[in-house]
Amino acid sequence: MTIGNPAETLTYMRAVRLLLGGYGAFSREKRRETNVAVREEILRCGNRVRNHVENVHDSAYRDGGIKLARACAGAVEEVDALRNDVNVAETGGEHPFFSQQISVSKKTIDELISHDLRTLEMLVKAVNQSNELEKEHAASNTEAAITAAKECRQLVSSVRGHFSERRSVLRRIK
Amino acid sequence: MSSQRWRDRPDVIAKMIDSGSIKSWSARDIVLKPNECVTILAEGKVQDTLSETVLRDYVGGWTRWVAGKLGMGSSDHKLIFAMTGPFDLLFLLNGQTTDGAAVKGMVNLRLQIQRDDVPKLLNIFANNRRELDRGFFAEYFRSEMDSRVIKPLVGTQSDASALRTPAFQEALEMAVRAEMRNAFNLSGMTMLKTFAVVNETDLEKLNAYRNQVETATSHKDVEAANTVADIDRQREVTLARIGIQTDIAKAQARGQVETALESQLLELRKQEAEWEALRSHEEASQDIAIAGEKSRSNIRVGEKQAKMDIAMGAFEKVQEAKRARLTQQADANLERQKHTDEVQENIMDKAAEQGAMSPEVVQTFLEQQTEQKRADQVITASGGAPAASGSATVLPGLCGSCGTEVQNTWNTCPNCGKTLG
Repeated sequence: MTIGNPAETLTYMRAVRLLLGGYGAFSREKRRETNVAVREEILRCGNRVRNHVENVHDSAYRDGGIKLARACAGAVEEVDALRNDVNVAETGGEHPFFSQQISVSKKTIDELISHDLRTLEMLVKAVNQSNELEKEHAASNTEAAITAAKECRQLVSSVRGHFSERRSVLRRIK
Repeated sequence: MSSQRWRDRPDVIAKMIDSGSIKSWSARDIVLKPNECVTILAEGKVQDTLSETVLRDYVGGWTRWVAGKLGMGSSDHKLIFAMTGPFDLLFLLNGQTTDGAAVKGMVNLRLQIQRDDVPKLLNIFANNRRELDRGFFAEYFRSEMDSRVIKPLVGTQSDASALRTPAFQEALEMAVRAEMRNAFNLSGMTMLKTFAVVNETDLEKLNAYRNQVETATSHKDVEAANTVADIDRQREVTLARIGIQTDIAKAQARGQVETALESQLLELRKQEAEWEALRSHEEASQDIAIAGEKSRSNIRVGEKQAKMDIAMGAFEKVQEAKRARLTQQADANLERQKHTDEVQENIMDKAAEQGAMSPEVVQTFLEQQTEQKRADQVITASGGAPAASGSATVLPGLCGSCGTEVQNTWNTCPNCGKTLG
């Protein structure tokens, strides 16, 4: 895994620690609050990707680089879609003691932790790719920047797909 | 327990309230749904931004009121509620293209307030009202949108139709993303999507009418061409059928000459018989018609002959009567002439016996005899009717020299001037 910015690396490590600690509290009322916190962390990562790509977009648009701006706009739209998915994601229900719903098992919690870790790892890749995009654009390497923007979009799209799988994992622990 | 809503109509996007303004005897919970969040401001600081949670006993309540009166707790405590779902803002698109056409339409911006950006709404609340709706944001960004995005972009388009191309939509979105990003970020908003809806201009309406007319005309032309083609096809089919029938007839003639001749002969005989019967029938009909006509003609001739006989009879009667009258008149004239002659002879004899016979007497005697004869001629020429006694002096005569008709009372002929006897 390549991480470009050390400061961001620290941020993501904090997010992973939050996940590990948060899912430790994945029991009773604390579970949903921790879930919201994890999703907010994913949103923040998405915002970082978006900011990087938008910087390149605005610069390319003003310079007349429509192809690069178009590629960046596609990546931004993908990030917006990811944020929308995360915003309205499910959190799991709170069921009474005698409910017929299945209780959370240790195995399910472990599976969820590993899944969210992979989601954040993929997002870190997208953030690194957006950093690479901005560097290529700063170096006036337009073709490489366009490629980086398209790869960034592909990574964010992968994150969306992986996040939707998380929701299916979460359904099993209700 | 009554509940309070921070948002009483769909247009409201954000609202800032003082938590102390919520008065109730019991403490109230704050329930936040996934598409809404709250930012807590206490003691001049942004404390937290929360969503999808329930803040237990967070506002209201008698104990909190008492604590406030005693100077306990936060003296300044505010809550900023905001919708984090997407919402649309409409901006008027009003500009002029390079060809001078005025275009009008709407620009639709889809915006969203991110959860982490809710505290940025303080930039707006600092100088504006505490309830922000879509109308407020549209007015808030209107002038900047118009001057930075709409006018410059529309002014570069060649005509109104260019505003409906995907290229324009893409350029508009890029322009909004690039030019308005800073303004939106300051207000805690993120632009998701932009598109324009452009109304039809007058020039485009005229072009549409012209195209409709051309389409209708070409449609009629195509229909006429199709009709002509149909007629040609029908003619060709007819000609082909005639040709095929001719070929078939020739082939049949080559193979079945005798049969055809016999058939033709029989047909001719049949036609002859038919014609003979028809002719006989026509002759009989003509004889009947002639006989009828003849009888009718005889009847008419008889009628005419009868009328003619009646007329001739009447004419004969008239002529007979006329002849009788003329004969009677002639006899009367002769009788009178005879009597006159006898009288004159007696007079002449007595005059001779008395010795009074002179030339003057003889001349007078002859003149009277001449006048008597002339009177008889006039009576005979006028159909035998006796002349009146007064009109005997005006009977016409002829001049002995030139033949001009003269009256017996005249002494001289008006034509030749000779003295009349």
